[in-house]
Amino acid sequence: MSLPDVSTMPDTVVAALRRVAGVHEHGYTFYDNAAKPTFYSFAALNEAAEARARKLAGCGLKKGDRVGMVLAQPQDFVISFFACLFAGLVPVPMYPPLSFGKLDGWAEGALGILQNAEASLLLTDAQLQSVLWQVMPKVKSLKDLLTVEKLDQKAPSTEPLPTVAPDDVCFLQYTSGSTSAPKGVIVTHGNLAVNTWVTAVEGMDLTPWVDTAVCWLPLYHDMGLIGFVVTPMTRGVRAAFIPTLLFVKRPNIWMQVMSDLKAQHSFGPNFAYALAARKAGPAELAKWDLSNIRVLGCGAEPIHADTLANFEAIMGQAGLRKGAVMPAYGMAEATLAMTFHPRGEPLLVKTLDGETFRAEGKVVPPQDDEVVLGFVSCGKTFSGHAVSIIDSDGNHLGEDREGEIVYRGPSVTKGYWKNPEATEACFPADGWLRTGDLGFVHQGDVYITGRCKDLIILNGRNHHPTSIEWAAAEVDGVRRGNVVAFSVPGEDSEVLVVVAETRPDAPADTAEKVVAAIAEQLSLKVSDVVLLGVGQLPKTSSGKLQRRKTREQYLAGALGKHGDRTLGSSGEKLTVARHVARSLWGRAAHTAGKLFSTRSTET
Amino acid sequence: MDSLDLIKAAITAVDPSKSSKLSKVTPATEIRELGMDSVATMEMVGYLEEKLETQFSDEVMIRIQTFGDLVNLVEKSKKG
Repeated sequence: MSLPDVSTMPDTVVAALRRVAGVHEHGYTFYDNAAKPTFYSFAALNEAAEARARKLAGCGLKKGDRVGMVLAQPQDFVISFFACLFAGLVPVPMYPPLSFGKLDGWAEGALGILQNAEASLLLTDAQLQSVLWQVMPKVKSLKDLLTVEKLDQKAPSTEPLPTVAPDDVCFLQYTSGSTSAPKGVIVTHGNLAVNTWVTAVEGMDLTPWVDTAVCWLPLYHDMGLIGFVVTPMTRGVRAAFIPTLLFVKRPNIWMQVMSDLKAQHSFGPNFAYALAARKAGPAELAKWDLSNIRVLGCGAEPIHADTLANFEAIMGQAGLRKGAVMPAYGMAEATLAMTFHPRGEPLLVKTLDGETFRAEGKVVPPQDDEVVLGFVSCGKTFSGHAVSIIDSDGNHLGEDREGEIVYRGPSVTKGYWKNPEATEACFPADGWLRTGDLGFVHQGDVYITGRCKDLIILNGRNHHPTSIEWAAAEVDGVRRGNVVAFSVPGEDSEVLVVVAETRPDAPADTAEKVVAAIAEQLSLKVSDVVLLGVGQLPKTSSGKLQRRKTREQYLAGALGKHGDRTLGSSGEKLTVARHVARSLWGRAAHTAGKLFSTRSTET
Repeated sequence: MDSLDLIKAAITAVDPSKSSKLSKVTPATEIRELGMDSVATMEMVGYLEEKLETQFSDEVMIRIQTFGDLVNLVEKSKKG
């Protein structure tokens, strides 16, 4: 049978999937927790999604209704996501609780998302439903909580499924965000059509009906969802999905699957390359064949050139070509991808004079005996899109000047769901998306240097918190990567505060050493040092430090007193017991609610 | 091998720098007190699963807090 033409951009995700509905020899492979693969041809994927879409429609949901999805298994997730789109519903991917008990914080986050999205249905799996029943009574819009197994037993609708247009909302992408209020990015079918197309054609160069992409990234996150659930099928490319937790438990599975499938493409944050390089032993390297790999994208967190170079050197023993690792820059508010480093080219590191950069925000070559800073290029943007740098008054600065990165083009989304203030701040009328990231453009390439909102201004000079945090992290006893620096109003100007998690065996004079290290390396005075125990710094769901929240807690005198993290071990037990009790209660209340048409208002 | 020893071996395999702290561990000690991040913690779980030729369910794992909890989990999987 001849393969369909995929040389043009489909206008919706539904059209993209329908286009490959007759393809039996290509499709997606889903690995389960035991690394057992299940293959779905694009034809089978269409059938499975269509069948589940009819079940969803049979639940009385109407076009545009939101469906919360907490699904840890890729197979459940992908079919349910496409089913929602076929039924004209708006999926709201949510992260499952995946580590040792932090259920309180997780349930709070899930509740915030479901309430903001006003979800009508919550879809989950048999393992996670027991935890989710507790949030059910608190979300007034929720009509039901179903496992995929339960959903599949429902009576299907026989009505025609609604049609979707490019302007229709495709899904809501909640960002882990640094503020307490959840922000759901409104991604339309049109946004996705354009962004996946430029990613596939200009960024990754996916070859239709030849290439294979491999993904272990969480699918509730834009990089996994858009980069690997939507993009490959749009371009007639096979994809394989490994459960995220399986990768973290057995990191070698990533390159093992790349080798087995002779795959060309994958993606991961900086830390994944460090982990994969550390775990690959001589036996694995002798066995793997990584010579088919063309693009290993790297994004979502600051890129360390050394980490990527080390990864390439080690995997080179298994045939990985140099230049395969490709830095990229993107964010949910711009659908996903914004800039890609050119494929196959070595990393581009720009070194510049630190003094001039910090004092004036200008990129000039390093001078003798001065501080030299290095930044990794994230490449250029795509056709039809533009990147610019602005100062705090909104003036466009041109090349080699540091400022806020702004972005324009058809990939820019429609703002945040039911959050006009945040939408107005990030999506102003001038059409330039405010990324909140600091950076500069040099010869058309984008370099990220930090985050605007975290900028510390002391005595009229700008300081990136990261440089202060790195200095503190070198002190013995301080947990690397668990330091937050910020400024607070002092007597006559801003003063510097450093909050750090320390290891249980940290020396008694750790605080003094932190002050000394920052003074020595950066000539900055630290006004206060707060040392916390392990796990006490506020972090996002993806483990990123929350500088603003840390600052708020500091000012409120509440550092280390929040959430379940600071309870003693008996307190933790109580927390979990309470969750289980609440879950059971929630399920009972739901059943009762259905019988008597009343809704619990548990507080 | 005793279950607690197996867990200690798993932690040492993932992060050798933690081995000195393991002598003070009791069943009530919280796993996160060791100062491993979430990725290292899950690596450690992966080591245990491999040695025990089993898989812990997500539902069971999110309820683990202390070494005692983890010992119970390991004991159960040995029987099961």
